[in-house]
Amino acid sequence: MTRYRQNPAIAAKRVDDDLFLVNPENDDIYFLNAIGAGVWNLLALPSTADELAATLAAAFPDMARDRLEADVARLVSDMAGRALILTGG
Amino acid sequence: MDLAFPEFGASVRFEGTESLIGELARLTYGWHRETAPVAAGSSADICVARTNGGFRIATPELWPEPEEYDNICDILAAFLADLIALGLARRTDWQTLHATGVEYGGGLLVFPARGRSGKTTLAVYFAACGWRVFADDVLPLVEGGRRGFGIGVMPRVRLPLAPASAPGARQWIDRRLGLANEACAYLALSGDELAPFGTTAPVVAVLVPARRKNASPVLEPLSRSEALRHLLREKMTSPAPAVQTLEIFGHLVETVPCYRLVYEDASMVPAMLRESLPVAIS
Repeated sequence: MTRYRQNPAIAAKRVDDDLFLVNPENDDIYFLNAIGAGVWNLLALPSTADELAATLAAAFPDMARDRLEADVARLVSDMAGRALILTGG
Repeated sequence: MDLAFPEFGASVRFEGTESLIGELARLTYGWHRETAPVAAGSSADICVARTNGGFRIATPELWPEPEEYDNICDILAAFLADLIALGLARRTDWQTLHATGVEYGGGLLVFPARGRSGKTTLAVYFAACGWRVFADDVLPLVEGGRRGFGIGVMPRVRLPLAPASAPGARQWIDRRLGLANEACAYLALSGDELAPFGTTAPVVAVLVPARRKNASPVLEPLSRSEALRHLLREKMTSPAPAVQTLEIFGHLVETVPCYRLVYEDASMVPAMLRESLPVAIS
């Protein structure tokens, strides 16, 4: 399974419970809601999408697991595509 | 005739269009321009020339091909847009928003919104109620985003004007209609009504406009995160890196009150704010 981790070059600014990420390579600004910000925080340590989904499922037991897994997979794929997170441990 | 507009870092050549310079002066307030011949072998940043049927503007840094217009109102609107765009790309001290800016008690209310959203209409009705306008479309922020910067361009309204409920508002506008064509008109505001170029004032609130059918004007709570997303969406070209932009706009939403301004009739907004703002921004 692919492991993801934060790209250390990314700048982050928290406002309320949300997070704004900036990739200085291309000046893209990326918005994460509270749950997305949680994923980002978890990626301070290398994690797989399954591990991220499991952690979130424990924190949000009322959320459907399959929906959570799909959302996490989509989010990490998008963030990886924008080089906000890197692959490899 | 070659002119330099030092605040925008741009040179302009008027070829057979020198008569536009006087018209331009009536559409701006507090602008400086200098006669400054473009060096031989160089070209001006903007060239405004005559054609058989009208005018042609060439701004190679922005557009690969010249544009042609058949009336003075449109050529000057294009000229102002290009000159300001050049300035935005060169002014490292500006972080600029698509926004209306209106003076309130020595401070500045910022209404970030995109094109055709009614920003100019709001600005004009504020002016009609005695509030000085800083901007109806392009509002630079300076000093780390703490202050708004007036660029001294007269508001340009689309015609026909929408009906207004506030008594006397339409008549006030009609008395100030200036250079116009069938689609739009510049207003001719006085120095008390439009802040001259370079005037600054501290930002005291961010009010994100939201037009809703049949809505009476009201201020609704807006999270700082949502306000920041609006500011980032309305950010205009800047030579500053995005990290700096995020810091500046982020600091702004963390230090001034942010609201959603819901309304349908812009002419009714100033009266509502006059009542609400003393509490809303206290």
